[in-house]
Amino acid sequence: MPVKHPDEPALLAYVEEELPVERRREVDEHLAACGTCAEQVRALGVARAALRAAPLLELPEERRAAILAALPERRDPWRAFRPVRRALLVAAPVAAAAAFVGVFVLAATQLGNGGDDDSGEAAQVAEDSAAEEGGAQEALTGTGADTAPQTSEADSRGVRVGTVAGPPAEVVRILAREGIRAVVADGAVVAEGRAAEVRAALAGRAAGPVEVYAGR
Amino acid sequence: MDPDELLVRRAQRGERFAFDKLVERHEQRLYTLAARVLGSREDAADAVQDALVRAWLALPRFRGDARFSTWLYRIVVNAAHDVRTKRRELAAEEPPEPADPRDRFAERELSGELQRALDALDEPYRTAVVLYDVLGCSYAEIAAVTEVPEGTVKSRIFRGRTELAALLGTREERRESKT
Repeated sequence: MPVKHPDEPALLAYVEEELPVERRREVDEHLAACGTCAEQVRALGVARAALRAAPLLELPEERRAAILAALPERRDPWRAFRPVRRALLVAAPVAAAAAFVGVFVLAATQLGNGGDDDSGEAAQVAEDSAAEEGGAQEALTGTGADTAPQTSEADSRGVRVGTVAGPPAEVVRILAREGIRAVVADGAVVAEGRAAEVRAALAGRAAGPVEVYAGR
Repeated sequence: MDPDELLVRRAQRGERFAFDKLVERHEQRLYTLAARVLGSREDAADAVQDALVRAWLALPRFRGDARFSTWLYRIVVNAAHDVRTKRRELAAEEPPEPADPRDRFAERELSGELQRALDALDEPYRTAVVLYDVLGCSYAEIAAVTEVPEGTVKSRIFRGRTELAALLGTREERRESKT
């Protein structure tokens, strides 16, 4: 008869059905012979069942609204980058050059802020914006190649992300689920946000006739 | 990939709409966590409010090392702990209520056998079983939330459940002996 009691993690793993078959059989045998451990397993199971039957609770709607409305202003280091990035995008014809300058400007701004963020984060910022500018440049070039007059239109709406299956209202709903605000204008969808994020949000959508633009 | 990643990035850039969406996704679980740990709906709402303000302000420094939900749970657990401490301090300063406080607080307290048993557990055990069994977190996730090794998490779940079962059992026996 087995005399060595399974330890606490083993009994927990037994109740959670996480033990390999072989070990489970050993514990089964032990439980059949050991009242103490059998009682322990029963108790674990009772508490498990009681806890798992507990429902999720709802924060009252008006309380949530009040909490969100009362969020303080955040001094946002990211906000300051946006005009810089946009200026670079317009001014620099080569995406690689824009990204290169971007790294410098952003890193300098980050340091200049004297903020609490460390250099790792600054690098991440630079990386993000380089990636975005690369993507944006590509999309703009694509549009320009299609039809010449559309280039100016694309500027006013933002960056052309691509085309997906409609209807446009459904595309707006998909974007909203990902927290991206969008509107329908002349049959096209104009989203507020980065091109890369809009593209990612629509990654699962089939190609189609609806033009999607990103920007604000 | 963290399913919140896109929203988190937007919220990090200061977009409140994205943060609202994140709150919408997680509020039920955050509130349940706080309520079960604190045993009070009102205190839980206070803790969630504190936590969301902290999360909003700290968001630009969130690095994505852990999942966003794990990061939020940690903030809520800390906020709940602070709310509890504040309550105790207030209770110590104020003269005791002349009337039975249970009447006044009846509505804001969570009722039920389970909650009374949970309230009787030590905070680390309570937090562990709520995260594991009520919210369905993994051992690794709880380890990250509570900042202890996984072995400690398992031990806390084991002890927490064992004590809880004993507390629930006692009540049942009492009820049976009454009838």
